[in-house]
Amino acid sequence: MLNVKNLRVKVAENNELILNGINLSVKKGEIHAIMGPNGSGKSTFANVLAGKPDYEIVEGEIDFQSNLINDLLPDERSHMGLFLAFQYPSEIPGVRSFQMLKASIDAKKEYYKEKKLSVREFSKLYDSKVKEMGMDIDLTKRSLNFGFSGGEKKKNEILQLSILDPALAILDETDSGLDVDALRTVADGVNAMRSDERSFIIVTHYQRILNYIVPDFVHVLVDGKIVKSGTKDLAIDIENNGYEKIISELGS
Amino acid sequence: MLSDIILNRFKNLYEPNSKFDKKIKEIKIDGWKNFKNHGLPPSPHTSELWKYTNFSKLYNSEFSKTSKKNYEHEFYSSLFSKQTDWNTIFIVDGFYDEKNSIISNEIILENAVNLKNLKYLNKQFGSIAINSENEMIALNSSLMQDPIIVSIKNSNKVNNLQIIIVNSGENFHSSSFPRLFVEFAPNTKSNIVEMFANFADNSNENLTVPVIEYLLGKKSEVSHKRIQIDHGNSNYFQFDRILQNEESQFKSTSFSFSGLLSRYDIHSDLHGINSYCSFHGLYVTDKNQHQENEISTTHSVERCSSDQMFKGILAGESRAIFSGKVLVKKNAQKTRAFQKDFNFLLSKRAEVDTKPSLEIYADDVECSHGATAGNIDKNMLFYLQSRGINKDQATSMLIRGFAQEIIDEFQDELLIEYLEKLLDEKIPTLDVEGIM
Repeated sequence: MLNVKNLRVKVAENNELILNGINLSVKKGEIHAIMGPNGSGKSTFANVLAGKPDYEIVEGEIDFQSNLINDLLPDERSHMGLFLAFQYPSEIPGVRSFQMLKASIDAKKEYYKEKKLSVREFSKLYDSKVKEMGMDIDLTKRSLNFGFSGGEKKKNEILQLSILDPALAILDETDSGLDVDALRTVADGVNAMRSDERSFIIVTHYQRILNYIVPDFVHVLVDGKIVKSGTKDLAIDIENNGYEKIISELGS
Repeated sequence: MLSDIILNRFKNLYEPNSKFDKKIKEIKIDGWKNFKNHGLPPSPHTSELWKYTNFSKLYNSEFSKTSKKNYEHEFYSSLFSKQTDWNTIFIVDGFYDEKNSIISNEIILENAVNLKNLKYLNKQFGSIAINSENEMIALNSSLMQDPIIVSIKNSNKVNNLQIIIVNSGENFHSSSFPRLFVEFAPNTKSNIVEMFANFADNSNENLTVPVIEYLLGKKSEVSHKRIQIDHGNSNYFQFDRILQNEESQFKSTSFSFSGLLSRYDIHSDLHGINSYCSFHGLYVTDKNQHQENEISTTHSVERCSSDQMFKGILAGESRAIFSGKVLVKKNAQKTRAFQKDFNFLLSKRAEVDTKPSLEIYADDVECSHGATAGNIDKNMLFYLQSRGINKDQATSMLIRGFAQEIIDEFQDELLIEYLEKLLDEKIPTLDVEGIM
């Protein structure tokens, strides 16, 4: 599904090196958690995978679905089945969730030269997904993310995830700012989408979300590098002992 | 002298016709006197009122008289006039087009050119839009071809009226000076749509200066929508002047596609307590267009509220001005007044000058103002792109989204559909070079 080799990335504006040789392989159906202290580069990694233009790849390869995607645009990556749930979803005035997702689906169909969904067909799909997520239909008629609470924004990301039906979903700190109930709803949404064909990368600071979405592998990112990998027990170890223990082990 | 040359050019158009009512004649003579005394400002910056307006092109232009013609009905088919059940006033090249206009008996309309003694001519005609206030109002007064007086009577139902001002493009270098006075009886509810459409070729320079006076009776409510579809080599100066009595409401939303030089100038005097007005609008400029928005409210008495909110989309080398003014007079306690101007700059060569201003002489007031100007937000663009929407389409969505808030205020489904279509056709043609 995804093979990242020796990925080194800098900020385009000031040449600051953020990712310093990441290697990661995610197979079909697997869930990987990427954990790390603040400033370790985990959100950058998520954004680079999705193709954010603020960053420049200095070295290394991102191979997705057996294609080198280093130079592909974010929209092309999306068409290939990559999805990023944002840590801070943008508030977009005057653009409604329905309208944006219809445009997304249309663009993808066009990319693969398939027949577009009619408004009615899309509307049916959309309404059923909104219902599944237990979202307030009025919210989806408003401007995207405008006046949404933190929880509503994250639920809205998972709604988009379920409608766009990607092969690989990257969740960037989806758990931040959520109360227990909202976290559970979001996790239920993600768990409902687990399948042998779909992979997930969960980027998180805390172990908490991993109680609800159980990962197959856990990686610890420090200073732009994966310094330790393991199973879900590694996340529990971090929860109990903090990142300090791992960082001090590195030094020794 | 330059000013003499200009004066002589317009003098050819000035004829205080004996056909007019005595009152109208007086206003014409007074208008000419005022215009003669002030003329047009010789260059920008010499007058605060015209600080950003470059009249230099107008100085070199000669404008001709228009004449009253009968146009076939097909002429109007491309215009927005689907509201067939609405009262409709067509003003073509400055003249009232009675044949194509529709006036129901809830409304009284007098067409001043044909009548010597106008029964409904209110004594306030010419006192809401004042000749001495502005050179262009004075010019309109002196050169108005066919003033129209409208009186909306007491009625339990909502009155719908569209005022459609057309430059037919049939005349070379035409100049027209539409003038209306609209009076709303107390307790009436009305929807007004004002529209300007320019059919002149891009190369055919023209000048249109409409002045509309609105007098709102006690507790009357007016929903005012204004649409300007201009293009090409056009000079357009529109003045809406409003006088509001007690507990009246005037809610205005404006949509402007500019021509070469364009000014929308609206002012309301909140003259009766508990009255309210809102001026909202969207302006879209491209190429070398220049659009001014002179938006002002006077709080003359206590306990009134006003609200101004304009949005601009600027592309190419265009320039827009938002000049929002709120004057709160000494006795206007318990005033609430808010002003905002937001701008979306789509080109590095576009420029906006935004100057919201508050002039407050009362002490118990709640007022605020603010303005912004920014480019396409990179994070929003990435967000939409990450959802599979390509950069061009995402950019269009963001521009449309920015405009949507104002478009939605048009409420009427047909109008919204019409404006959305206009914008969807316009956005891909905008010159957005150099911002990303």
